Amino acid sequence: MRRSQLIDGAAGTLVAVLLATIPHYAGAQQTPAQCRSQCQVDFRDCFQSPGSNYCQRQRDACLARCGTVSPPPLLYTLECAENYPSGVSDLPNSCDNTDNLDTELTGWQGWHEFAYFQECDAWPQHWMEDDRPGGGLDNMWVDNPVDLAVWSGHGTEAPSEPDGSWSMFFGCSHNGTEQATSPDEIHLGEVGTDPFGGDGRAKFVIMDASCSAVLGEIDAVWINGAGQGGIMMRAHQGLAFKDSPNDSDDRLQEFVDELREDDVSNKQAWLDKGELCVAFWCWNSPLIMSFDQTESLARDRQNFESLSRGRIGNQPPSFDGFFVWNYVDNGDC
Amino acid sequence: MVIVNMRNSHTLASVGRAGAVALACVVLSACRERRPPQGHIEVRPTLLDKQRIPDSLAVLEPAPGLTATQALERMRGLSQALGLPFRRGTLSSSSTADSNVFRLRVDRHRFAVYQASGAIQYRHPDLYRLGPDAAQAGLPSQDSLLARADRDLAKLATVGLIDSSAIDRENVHITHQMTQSAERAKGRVTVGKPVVLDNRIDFARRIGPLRVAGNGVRLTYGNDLRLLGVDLTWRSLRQGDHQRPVAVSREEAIRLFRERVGVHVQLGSTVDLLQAELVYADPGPRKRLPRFVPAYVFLYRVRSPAEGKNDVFVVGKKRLLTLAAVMQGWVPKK
Repeated sequence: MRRSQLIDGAAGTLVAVLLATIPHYAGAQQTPAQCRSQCQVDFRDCFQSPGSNYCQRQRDACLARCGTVSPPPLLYTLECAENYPSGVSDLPNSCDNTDNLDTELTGWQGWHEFAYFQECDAWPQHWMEDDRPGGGLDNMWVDNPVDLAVWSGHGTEAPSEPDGSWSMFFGCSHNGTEQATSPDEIHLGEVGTDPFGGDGRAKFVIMDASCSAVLGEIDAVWINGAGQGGIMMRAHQGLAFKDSPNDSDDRLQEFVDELREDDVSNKQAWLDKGELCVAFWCWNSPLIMSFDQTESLARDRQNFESLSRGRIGNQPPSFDGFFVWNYVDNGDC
Repeated sequence: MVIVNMRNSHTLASVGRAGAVALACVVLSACRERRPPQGHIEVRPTLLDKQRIPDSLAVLEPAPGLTATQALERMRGLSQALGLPFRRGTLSSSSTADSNVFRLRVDRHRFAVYQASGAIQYRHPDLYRLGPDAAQAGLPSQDSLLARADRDLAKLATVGLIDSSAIDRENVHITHQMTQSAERAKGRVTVGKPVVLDNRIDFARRIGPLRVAGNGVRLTYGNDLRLLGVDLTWRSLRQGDHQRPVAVSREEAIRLFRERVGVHVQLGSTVDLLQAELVYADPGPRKRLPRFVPAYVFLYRVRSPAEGKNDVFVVGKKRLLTLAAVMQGWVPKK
């Protein structure tokens, strides 16, 4: 297993400050040459700090947006956990699942790994909205500058579902918590005047975890929360499960393999490969959801959009709009 | 004999912990008494409870993987049997660590054959383009679905893709692709009703007295009974070796399951046993399978209370535990 990239606290703070202040991320108008020059200047100090691997990635992302690479790369962050503390069952294949996805996705259609955190390097704060009290880090890891964010690990449920809440459950506690909870803490793809700062970018989010899309609480967990949005702010698509999927080591790889080989939509590949059919009939209830301005546009996105570069549509033009989801009903959580 | 899918990249600490427990179980041979499961194992009634366990069973030998020509022949056979559009074309193939998948597109119809298992998939272009209007004309009855499926099974048998007498008709399973929508406007959400888009019928395969986990036929129909998808995993079998005595009884298998899973389950946790049965276990269409070995399979998931949180449970993904039922040295890992 490869080790993930880590930055220490000091470098993280420094980078956070840089990201908040540099013109590129503030959206200033520049020529490509000015932009590239600015990227070099902005990240010069970062490289003098520990954790320069992170700086390299951030600078590359910055340069790519200036037109250094055409078209700019698509970035993804993977997080997973297999080993859980005493009292919680381990998931021995959970990181194989993301390992194999990493292998399959790297280099395909311009996708590049931005970050890959495993076990105790995966923090709940990476998924928490940076614009919330206490401060999350999603603007640095899973919602910006990445286009795709993936979690493979545990999810939670209440004694009685739906209860309007769902949490990602991490292998280690960080800063006093091992959970990131929707709708309070996870908001991806918010832009412009949307709630929570408008500094999101993520287009796709995959929650390969139990009970991540329980019917009856999709509105609360994914769409609207307490009226300010759920996991999907203006993210294009969410891929999840309405039950407990099996602890697969290759589900995500199979998903991308079908996209790559058959040039099908995310919906088709996710519903095809999300099931587990090795025990008589199929188990797992994969669910995929799309968002756009109108129901017709949301359905078009649902039917056609894919991780394949040429099939990624425009960002939904408004925060208000329609969600469409499809699932294979092999049971509930 | 007991196989649990253990990832080989556990931290040293966890490997050490697991190793110590395993060693203690082996050395003391009284692990169950010394370290009883602390969680609650919810063993619901399963097919295993009423299954007749034979005294002996055969270990079978599946045919080796297919060539591209053979894969194309299977596609042609499927098309011929079910009246699907087909013309010979250039197969594309993709390979993973496990095996090749041969693919063919005829217009927008998609065929795939897995080299290792011979499993065939077919997708009609409309299968994942269905909208809510697909249910406007009403839903088909179960009887009409099964009658349509019976006709198609018979057709598949005529071209040798299945043996219709080996279909388990007592445990037919029907599920659906569904769709739903919601509008978010001015801080409020209006959720529509779920709509049935298709009808998926699963038939399992029998070999002798056992069903085959992972082999069988899924036929997918629209609400208008159009055939929209086929998933057929039906490994060809060569003559296997002679019968071997069943070495693990039902009671012993359940005890081993409880013991094996129980050591990882802590106080307050619950193990939901979702399915258990003595079967021929197929690890999936991508996997090579040197031998079909009778085995007990247990599909389960663990729920544990989240520390420090009232009324929140951590829900594990489903796990499959496979226990070989006859004495021999190999068992499928999944």
